[in-house]
Amino acid sequence: MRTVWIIARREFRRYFTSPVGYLVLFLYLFILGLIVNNSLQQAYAFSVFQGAPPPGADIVIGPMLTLLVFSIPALTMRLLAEEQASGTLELLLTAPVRDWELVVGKWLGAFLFVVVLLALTLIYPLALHLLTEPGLDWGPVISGYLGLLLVSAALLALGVAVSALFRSQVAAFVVTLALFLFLWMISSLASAGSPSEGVLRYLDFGHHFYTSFFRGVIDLQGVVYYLSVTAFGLFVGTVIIESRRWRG
Amino acid sequence: MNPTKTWRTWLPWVALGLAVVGALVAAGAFFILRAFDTPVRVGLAVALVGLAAFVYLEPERVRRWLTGREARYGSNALVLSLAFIGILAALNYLASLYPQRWDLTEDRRNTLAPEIQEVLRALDEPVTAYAFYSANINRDYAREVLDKFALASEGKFTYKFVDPIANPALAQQYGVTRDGTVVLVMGDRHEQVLFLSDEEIANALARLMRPEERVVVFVTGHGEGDIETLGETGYSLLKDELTNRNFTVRTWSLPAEGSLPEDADVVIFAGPTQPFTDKERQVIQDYLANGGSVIFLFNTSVEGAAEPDADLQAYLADQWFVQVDDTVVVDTSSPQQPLIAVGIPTARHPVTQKLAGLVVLFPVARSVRALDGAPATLSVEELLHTTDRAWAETDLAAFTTSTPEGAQVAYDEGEDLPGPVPLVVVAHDTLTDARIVVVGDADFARNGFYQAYGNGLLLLDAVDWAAGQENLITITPKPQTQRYLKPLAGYGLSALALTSICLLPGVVLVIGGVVWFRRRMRR
Repeated sequence: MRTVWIIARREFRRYFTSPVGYLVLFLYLFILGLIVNNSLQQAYAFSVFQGAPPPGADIVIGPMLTLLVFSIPALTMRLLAEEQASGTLELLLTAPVRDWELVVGKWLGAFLFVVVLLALTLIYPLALHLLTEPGLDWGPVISGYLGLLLVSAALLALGVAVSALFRSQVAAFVVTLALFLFLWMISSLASAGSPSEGVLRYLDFGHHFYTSFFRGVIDLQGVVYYLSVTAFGLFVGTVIIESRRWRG
Repeated sequence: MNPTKTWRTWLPWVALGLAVVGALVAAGAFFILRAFDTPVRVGLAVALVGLAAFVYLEPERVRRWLTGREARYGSNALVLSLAFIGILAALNYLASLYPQRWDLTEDRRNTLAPEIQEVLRALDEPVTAYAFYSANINRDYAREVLDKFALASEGKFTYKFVDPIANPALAQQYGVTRDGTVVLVMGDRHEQVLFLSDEEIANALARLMRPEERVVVFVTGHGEGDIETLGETGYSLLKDELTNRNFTVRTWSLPAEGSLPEDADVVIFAGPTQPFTDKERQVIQDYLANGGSVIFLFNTSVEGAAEPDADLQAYLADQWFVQVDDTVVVDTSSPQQPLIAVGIPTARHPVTQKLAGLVVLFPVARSVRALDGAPATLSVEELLHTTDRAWAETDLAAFTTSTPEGAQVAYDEGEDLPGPVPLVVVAHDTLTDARIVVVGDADFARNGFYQAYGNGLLLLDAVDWAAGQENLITITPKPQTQRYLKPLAGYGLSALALTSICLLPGVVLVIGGVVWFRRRMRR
C-alpha cells in the first residue's frame, strides 16, 4: 500500500505542476459558475413575481455530472499513455512495483485531484445557504456530493484502463470520452420497452445518479454499482498492463 | 517503400477490426431486438468474413496466438476476468434483491407517506403506469413521483413513458386527450390521473383495487343540456372524460320516471330552463335527505331559464344555506366580454385543489352565495370568486330592454352585489353524507367552453367529490419547510455574478499562471 500511496502522491502533485490540471480546474469552475449564476438570476427574477420556492442544491449538483464526463478524460488520458509513449512504463515494470499498485496509485492520484475539484465547488452550496432563509436543505448536498465522488471514482477507473491501452494521449482522451458518452446514453438505446431495457438502464451511470443521489437519497444499489465499475476499471487496467509482460 | 508490403501489413488488422465491429453490432442488435433479424445476421457475416480474412492473411500469427506463450497467458487472463466480472455481477444482483435507500432530505421528500405504502403493500396484481408525455413537456417531476412508487412497490408497480404523438394508438386506447396524463393499468381495468401527485396515484390505485360501478346521471326533461350533442352546446366532452375515468354516464327523465335512480352516485341538473313541479322538487329533496349527491348548474334568466324557480331556491337557502341569486355577473376584467365571469379558486377544497393557477370562465353567470348560520353538521363553502372588478347586477331588465344606446348596465351601490362575486358553492351534510355543488352557470362545461382553462377540471373534480371519490386515501400532510430567497440589493446580484463566475476560476488561473511561469523561468 505504501507504493500505491507514493505513486498517488506523485500523480496528484503532477496535476498542480502541469497546465492541464489548472486548465481543467479553471474550465470546470468557470462553466459551473456561469450555470449556477444563470439559475440564481432566474430564481431571483421569479421570486419577485411569484414567490416561487428558492433553488436547491440541484442547480449546482445537476450540471456537475455533465462537466465531469467531459473533464475526466482530460485527467486520465495522460496517466498510463504518457508512460508508454516516453518508455518509462518498461522501467516501472522492472521496478519492485506490482502492476495493480501502479494502476491503483495512478487512479488514486487522479481521484484526489477530483476530490479537490469537488471541494472547491462547495462554495456554491455555501453561497446558496447564505442566500436562503432558513438555509439550504443539506441532505441533497451530502448525497449529491457522495454520488459525484462515486461517479468520479468509477469514471476515473475506466479512464485509467483506457489510458493503459494507448501510447497517444489524444487517442486515450477520445476513446475515454466516447466510452463515457456511450455509457451515458446506453439506456436510450432500448426505450421501446424491450426486455433489455432494465439491464441497459442499470448499466447507465447517469441513471443511478439522477434517480437517487441527485434527489437526496443514498441508494445501496447505486453505491454497489459505482464501486463495481471502479473495481472493474482498475482490474481491466491491471490486466492490460500485465499483458505487456507476455504480449509479443 | 514497397506498396504490396504496406497493404499486407495493414489489411489483416482492418479485417480483424471489421470482425470485432461486426461481432459487437450483432451482439448489440440481438440484445436489443431479441430476434435473429437482418442486423444480427449481417453483423455475424461481417465478423466471420473479417476473421477468415485475418486468418488467411496472417496464418503464422494466428498459429502463434493459439499455441504459444501468449495463448497460455491470454486464456489465464480471460478466465480471471470472467471470474471477476461474475463476482461483480453477483454483488450487483444481491444489491438489487435487497434494495436499501436512505432519504436525506429534510422533509423526507423522496419517501411515500405510510398510508400510500400501505396501499402498495395491498396491491395483489401488477400495475403498469403509462405516462403520456410528448416531447414538449418536462418529464423530471413525473419521473420523480413514479420512481417513488416503482421503488417502494417491490416490482409490482412499473412505469413507461409514452409519447402520445408518436404512439397515438395507445393514447386512443386509454382515452387520453391531455398531454401529461398518466394511465394506471391493472389487468383489464385502467384509471386516468390527470394531475400527478403521490396522493392522486394512490387514490387511483385504491380505485383500481376496488372496482365498483360509479354512475353519473344527467337529468333531462326540463330543457337541460344534452350529453350526446357534439356541437358547442352539448356536454359530450364532459361525458367522454367521465367515461374515461370509469364512470358510467347516462340520462334520466325526471318527469317520465317520477323518481331519481337509486344506483346513481351523482345526479346532475345541467341548466334546467323549466321550473320543477312540486312532486319533482319533493323527489329531489327526498333524494338528498337520503344522502344523495346533486350538482346543480343554473343558467340565468336572461339566457331563457324560466325565472324564478322560487321554491327550489327557497329549499336550497333554507335547508342547505346556499343562496342562488337572480342576478347576472358583470365582469370588467375583460372589457370586450363583460358577461364572461372569470372565476378564481379562493378556497382549499378537493374540488379546486387541482385548479392551482387556472381560472374558470363562466359565460353569463349568476351569483351563488353561502349563507351564514348553517348548523355544525353542514359545511357550506364558496369555492370560486370573481375579482373585485366584477359585480352581480340585480336589474335584469337592463339586459333585455334594448335602448338605442345599447344596454345600460352599471354598478349601483346598495342594489348590486359588489365583487368579488361568489360563483360556486359546495355543501356537505356530514350526518347523511349528502353533498351538493351549486354553480351559477351551466354553459362553462358545454363543449364550447369545456377545454378553456380549468373549466373541464372543475366539473370533473366536482363529480369526484360529489361521488365521494376524491379521497379514498387520506394522507396526513407532512410538515414542509418553507424556504425563500433573501432579498438582495441591486448591486447584490452583480456581486454574486462576479464572485461565482470570475473570482474562483480567476484565482485558479492566476495560480496556474504563476506555477507555469516559475517552471519556465527555472528551465
